[in-house]
Amino acid sequence: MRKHVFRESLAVFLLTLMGGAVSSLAARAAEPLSKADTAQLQELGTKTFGIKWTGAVHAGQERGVVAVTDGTTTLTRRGLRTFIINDKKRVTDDSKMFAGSDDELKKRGTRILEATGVKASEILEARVLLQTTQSSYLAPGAAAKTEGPQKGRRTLLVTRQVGGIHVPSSRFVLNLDASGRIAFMELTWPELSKETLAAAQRIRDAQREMKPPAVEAATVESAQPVVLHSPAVGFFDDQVAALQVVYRPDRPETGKKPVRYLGIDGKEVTLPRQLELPREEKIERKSPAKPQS
Amino acid sequence: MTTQPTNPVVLLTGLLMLAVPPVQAQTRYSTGAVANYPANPCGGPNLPLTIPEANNFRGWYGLAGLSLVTRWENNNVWGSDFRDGAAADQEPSGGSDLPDVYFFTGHGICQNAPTATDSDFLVTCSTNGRPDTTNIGTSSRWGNAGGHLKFAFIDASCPMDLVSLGNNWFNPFQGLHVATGHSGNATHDTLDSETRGGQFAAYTVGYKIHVLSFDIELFPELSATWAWMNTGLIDVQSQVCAVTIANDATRQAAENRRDNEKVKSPMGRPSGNWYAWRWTCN
Repeated sequence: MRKHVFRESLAVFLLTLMGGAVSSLAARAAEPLSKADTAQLQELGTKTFGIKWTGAVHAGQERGVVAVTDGTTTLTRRGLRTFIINDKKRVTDDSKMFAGSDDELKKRGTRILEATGVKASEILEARVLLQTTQSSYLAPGAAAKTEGPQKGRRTLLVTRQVGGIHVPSSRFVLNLDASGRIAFMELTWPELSKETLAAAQRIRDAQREMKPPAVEAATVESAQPVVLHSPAVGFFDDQVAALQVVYRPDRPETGKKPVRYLGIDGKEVTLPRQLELPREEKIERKSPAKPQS
Repeated sequence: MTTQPTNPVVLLTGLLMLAVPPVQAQTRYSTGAVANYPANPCGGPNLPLTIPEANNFRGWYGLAGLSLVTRWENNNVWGSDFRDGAAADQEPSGGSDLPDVYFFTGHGICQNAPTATDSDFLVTCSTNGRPDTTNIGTSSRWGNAGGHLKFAFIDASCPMDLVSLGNNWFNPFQGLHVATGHSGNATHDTLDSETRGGQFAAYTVGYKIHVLSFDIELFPELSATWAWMNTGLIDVQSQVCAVTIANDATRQAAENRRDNEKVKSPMGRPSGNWYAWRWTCN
């Protein structure tokens, strides 16, 4: 037990240490990590995520995102608490995936979250999602012969709230292999600034008075204060509080529901970025030539 | 010992090669994003986040060095782009069978309780190429007659209902490799999202840096299926499923293609009558 607590404390210490190092790296071009930073990131992978590195590791960084790899397993980090782990050898095969119970998968996930400093009070929901596979043979001119569905891998998905405010951008996705090692993991659970949380509280307090804009051919289905932030794969760490308004299309068969994200002033907020987008010219497509009569 | 002066042309070429992202000549892509669905004549409502969603998709593919074929929005995305034919999905200015990858984001059609005989649709809103509604099972055929499409990524809500998959999604595979979409219904639907398409794109191509003669995947490159399994449930309501399907000559080959085929290194042209699909639900 003591050993367990010590390892977690060490992991959180390493996280904090690395967080400072990572935030100071904002160069655009790819660069190698220093030996010291590489060793820290490698140790973080070992102690916090249980990665067993095989052979020499190499590490680099670009635009504040750092990664260390042994050629098979890669640990990527941005900021204090955004991580991606991908094990090329373990990521694909259903038959080699974790065979333990759902509870065991949740427990393993909870330990990882604790080790990365995630507060238990911020966990909104932890669910195990099952993947299912199926196949079918369609002989020419005959009816399809469809085989029964097969259970595939299971994925732990953990979602977040802070003080009763949903943070839909935060999530923890975990796939384990048969031995309980990480096959794939995405954790994006950044620290939220006091300003962002205060803005979310103000939106919650003012929610009753806020009037979502009318959307043609749709009516408001739900409205809730949320905090949005940049997703795991990306080079930015934006965050913003908003009132998320989901609209129900008036024609019930219309698929995909409109969503608006509003600030306290009722105007749409700027959504968090993933990457810098190139400037694109506005272009018009020529109408098809009409047949000569 | 003398040192040969460096040829400035060679030096400049080398520098330029370092600055330009590697070109994946084999994979070309298009995006079609429809935000404007005025009630008259298109029934509404607008989906403003489809435009930045497609921008993010292109951002990641551009960063990976893939070649853009077309990037149409709104009125410039035609219904005929998704229907079979020389003047339709192979129409030279924007047909969906021109590129290797096509990402569509816009409306679909959801049934209250879909049945095995219900159709799957995607919906555009344009003065050209009408009708705006495309019945995928009866009208879409990809990879045939010189068509190139290998990956059909349809972010349109309910275009891939599990209960009717065999009815709608076997016939479009005429050389198509992998398709992704959602299964849902009128009360369990996908949400307009700026995030989903970009994160999906990012995982399908990854992002590699070259440091001290080593390649490091800053962001991993996953197969189309694993990318969709990881991102297809972003911004969806409960009970919505992310679905992928592939086709090949044997069950094993179809399953292998479904689980392992990557956008940047596509496998050979599939042929055969086996279909393998995978899904996960929120």
